[in-house]
Amino acid sequence: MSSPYELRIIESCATCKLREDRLFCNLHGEALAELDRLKFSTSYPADAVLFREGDAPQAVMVLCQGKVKLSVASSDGKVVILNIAEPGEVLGLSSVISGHPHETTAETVEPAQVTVIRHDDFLKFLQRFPEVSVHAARELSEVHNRACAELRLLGLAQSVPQKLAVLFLQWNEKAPANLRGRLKLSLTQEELGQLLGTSRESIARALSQLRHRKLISVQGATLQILDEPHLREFAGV
Amino acid sequence: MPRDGERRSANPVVAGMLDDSALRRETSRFSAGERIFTEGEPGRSVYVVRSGRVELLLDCARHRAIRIHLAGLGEVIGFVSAMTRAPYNKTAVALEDTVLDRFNANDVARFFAEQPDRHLEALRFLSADANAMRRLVADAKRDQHAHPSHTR
Repeated sequence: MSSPYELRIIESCATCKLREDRLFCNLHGEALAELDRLKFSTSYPADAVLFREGDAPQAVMVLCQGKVKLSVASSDGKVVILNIAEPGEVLGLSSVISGHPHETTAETVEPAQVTVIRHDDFLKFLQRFPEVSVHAARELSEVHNRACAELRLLGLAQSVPQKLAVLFLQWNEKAPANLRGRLKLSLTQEELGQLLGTSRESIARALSQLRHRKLISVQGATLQILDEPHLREFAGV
Repeated sequence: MPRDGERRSANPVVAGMLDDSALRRETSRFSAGERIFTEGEPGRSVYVVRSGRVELLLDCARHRAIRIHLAGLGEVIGFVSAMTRAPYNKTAVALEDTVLDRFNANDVARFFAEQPDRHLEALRFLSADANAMRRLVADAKRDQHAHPSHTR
C-alpha cells in the first residue's frame, strides 16, 4: 500500500520484514501481538515536527522508514543537531519513561513512517512484558552509545573536512549494501553544520576540499564516495 | 541496613541495591590513579561509590580520553553494562583513594528484572543517563561552534 509521500507502508509489525534487524521492535509471541494491537501507524512528509523540546511526552514513536533529526536549541536560538535517527530507532522513549518533557525536537528530514504507542499504553506494555522492558533498556543504552560515538568524533578535535569525512563514512557503513557509495544527502549545509558543531561556511569549504581531492562528488542531493580508502586515510580512521 | 558511615542514596536504583540484603556486595579499594575497569571489558561488576571519586573516561583514538563524568558518593557505575549484558562502555579510574561497594553484574540484572517496578526504576535511571549524555554532546557541539579554534 502506498501513502501520499511515496512510502510503501508497513502495515503490521508481525509481518514486517525489517523487524529482526531492529533493536526494539524485534519482539515475539504475545508481546508482538500486543504491540500490533496497541500501535497505530502514521506517515509524515519531510520537515514535519513529531514533537518539540519542552513538550510533555504523549507517545513513544518507532521510526519504521525515513530519517528524523533530533535537535536542541539554546536560549539564543542556535540549533544543534544531536543525531539523525535511522529506521528502527525509538523516539521519545526516555521522556515517556522518565515522565519529563522532551529534551529534543524531532523533525523528519525526508518522508517517514512511524509507529505510535500512546504514553500510558506503552508504560503498561513495559510492565506486562519483561521482553519489552529489556528491549527498551537496550534502546536506551544505544542512545548512550550513539552519544559516546558523537563525543569521540568531537573529542578527536579533527578539522571540519576530517569530521565530514568521518560522517560520510559512518553513513556509508549504515546504508544498505546496494546503496553504498551513493548516498542521499538529506541534510542542508546549514544542518550539516548543526550536526558537526560548525558553521555553514565551514561545511561549504570542507565539501569543496573533499571534492577537490577527488574523494567525493556531490550532484544535487546525491553524494558519491569516489575513493573510500583515501577518504578513510584522510579521515584518520 | 546501611553500613556505618553510609548515607542512603537519593538515587532509587542505588538505594534499592543497598537496601536489599539478598544482593551480595563486597568492598573494593582503589588507590588514586588506579584503573577500576576498562572500556570494552566484559561488564562483570557494578559499583557504588562509598568514598572518594571516580573518573569516567571515553577512550578516543591516539591515546586521548575525554572525561564524561566524575562519580562521587552514592553514585553507581557500570550499571548500563549490567542491564544490557554488554561490555563496559567507559573506562573508570579512581581520581583519589576510593572505596566502592562491588556487586556482581548478573545479580544486579536479575534483581532489577525480577520485579516490574524495579525494572521501571532501572529504565528511568538509563533514561536520565541517556539524556545526560545527549546534553554533553549538545554542549560539546555548541562549544566547538563558539570556539572553532579548538578544532584543528
